[in-house]
Amino acid sequence: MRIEVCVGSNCTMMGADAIIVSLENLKETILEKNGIRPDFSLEIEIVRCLGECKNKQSVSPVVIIDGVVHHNASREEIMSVILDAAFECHDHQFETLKDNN
Amino acid sequence: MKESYNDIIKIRRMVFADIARIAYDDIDLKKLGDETYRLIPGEKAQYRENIFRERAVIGERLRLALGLDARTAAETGAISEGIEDIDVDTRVYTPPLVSVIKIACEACPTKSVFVTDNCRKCLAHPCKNVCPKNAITIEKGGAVIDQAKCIKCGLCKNECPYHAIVEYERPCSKSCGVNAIGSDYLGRAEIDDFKCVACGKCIQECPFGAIADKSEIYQLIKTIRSGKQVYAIIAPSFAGQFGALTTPEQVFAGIRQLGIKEVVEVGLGADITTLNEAKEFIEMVPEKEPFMGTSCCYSWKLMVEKNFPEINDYISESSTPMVYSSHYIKKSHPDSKVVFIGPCISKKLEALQENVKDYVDFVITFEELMGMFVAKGIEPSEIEVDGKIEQASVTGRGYAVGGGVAKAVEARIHELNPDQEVKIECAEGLAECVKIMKLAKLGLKNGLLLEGMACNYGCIGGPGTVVTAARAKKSVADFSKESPFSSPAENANIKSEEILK
Repeated sequence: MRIEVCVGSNCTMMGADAIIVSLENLKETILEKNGIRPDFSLEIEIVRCLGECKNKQSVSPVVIIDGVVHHNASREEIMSVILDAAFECHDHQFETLKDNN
Repeated sequence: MKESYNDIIKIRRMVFADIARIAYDDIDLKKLGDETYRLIPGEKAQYRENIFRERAVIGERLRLALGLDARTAAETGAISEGIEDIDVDTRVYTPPLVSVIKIACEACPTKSVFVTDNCRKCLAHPCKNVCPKNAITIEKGGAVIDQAKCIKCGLCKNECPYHAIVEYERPCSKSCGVNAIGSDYLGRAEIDDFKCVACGKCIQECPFGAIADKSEIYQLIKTIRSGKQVYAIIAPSFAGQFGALTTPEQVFAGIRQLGIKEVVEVGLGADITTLNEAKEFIEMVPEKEPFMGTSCCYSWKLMVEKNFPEINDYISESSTPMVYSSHYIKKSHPDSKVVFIGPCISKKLEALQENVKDYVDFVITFEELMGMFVAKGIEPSEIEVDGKIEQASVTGRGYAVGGGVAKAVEARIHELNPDQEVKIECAEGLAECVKIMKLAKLGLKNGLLLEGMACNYGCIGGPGTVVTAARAKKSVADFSKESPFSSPAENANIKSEEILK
């Protein structure tokens, strides 16, 4: 899975940095520690202004997940999209995760 | 905690960007009311229980950002009330700097220990058994604490096997290192301006976004647009603040695109501070003064002045990096205006002081500068730049991170007196600063060089920062390493007459 986080002026002001920190933490904690699906990998890329905010109002922060543009991206939304994809059968996996903890 | 308060940070920054836009687009301030609809559109509440209150609160935020005083519900009249007084191209705001937006404050209960519904009404009831005030009774629904008797020792909380008892304190007053937050007659937070040192911690910590400081962006932009020559001085913590792909050189270029003539690193002033503080330490400690405290954090300095007058003289007499940097510009451009851009809000207060006000004309934060970039549609990361910034030394740039000031001064002392052993101690966070000074007052810090920083992690943890401290720390370290000057003494930009006051 490939996540692009826009770090243009608008997106940085509206919290792109917090999204990057959350995604990096997610990668280090839940994803790596718990060894989710061996074929799943998370690529986080920071990208220059995508121009989304220049013609539309209030779209920042902008995050692109596997080519799909997300406006007003929140950390919780992005993290849950990642986890849903990371857990093959996520309900089952979540149960295991809870048991392990 | 700050980083997870997304909506509060968002609202605050939206307001800065909006005020910058108003100033650049010459929008009539009498139409300020329209902005509340622009920022909070539609008819569904998004942040608070109803949209009317959201608009009212953002209206007060807009007023504070213009430099006006906070109002209570009783005083809240037209949103544009008093607006003509601040529609100027010169510094206009007056203290208090940090205020509670009373209509946003939820009047959280003050410190208390209470039983939650986790209580199982157990037979052993260890909570009751350990209470030294016999304040707990076991009633039908569970344990009950008599709040009149409770001394908030927390013993019951620690004993409960079900974690049913919680100790709770208002986030604002808990975060205040100088105990400056009390309650008004409606139980809302109230800041004691005599105690407050404007560190801005409560602004970061209030989960309802009910505390804010005043801003000078509007007057700064009007000054730039009036054609006056404005120079910017930017604090060492700026590296990494304006987008993960933006280089320090691009930040400078972006600032110039705002209409600012030239930008100077405050790290340059920090180098002068280092040279002076090292010299002062060697001369004074321990013969003439028992210890020396650093002087660059204004909240720390103000805290010592207000709470420890008897040892206030032991804070270094050197001016702050902000003052030296501004002096550096004003000596060759006496008619210019200087804006300090930093992570800090207490600098806004420092700039009003008698011996500083002629040097520093405006103070804005990184967040506020970001708002200006957004309002002008500037993308610093896309600007093509040549060359490197070569104004400050490695240790001057290191001032941004907790411990960096003491480290710089220590290194300089070693250069002058290789045999002198210097013991240093650093306090981060205002509460720690108070603690270290209490010990210093008792004579337990004699011979030491004490660094005080009101913010955790130092300046990179300041209330006006845009990015998390951990990420900023890395950027500051990278930028520091790029300096061609390993010591302030090698800094080719500093002439000898600048050293010592």
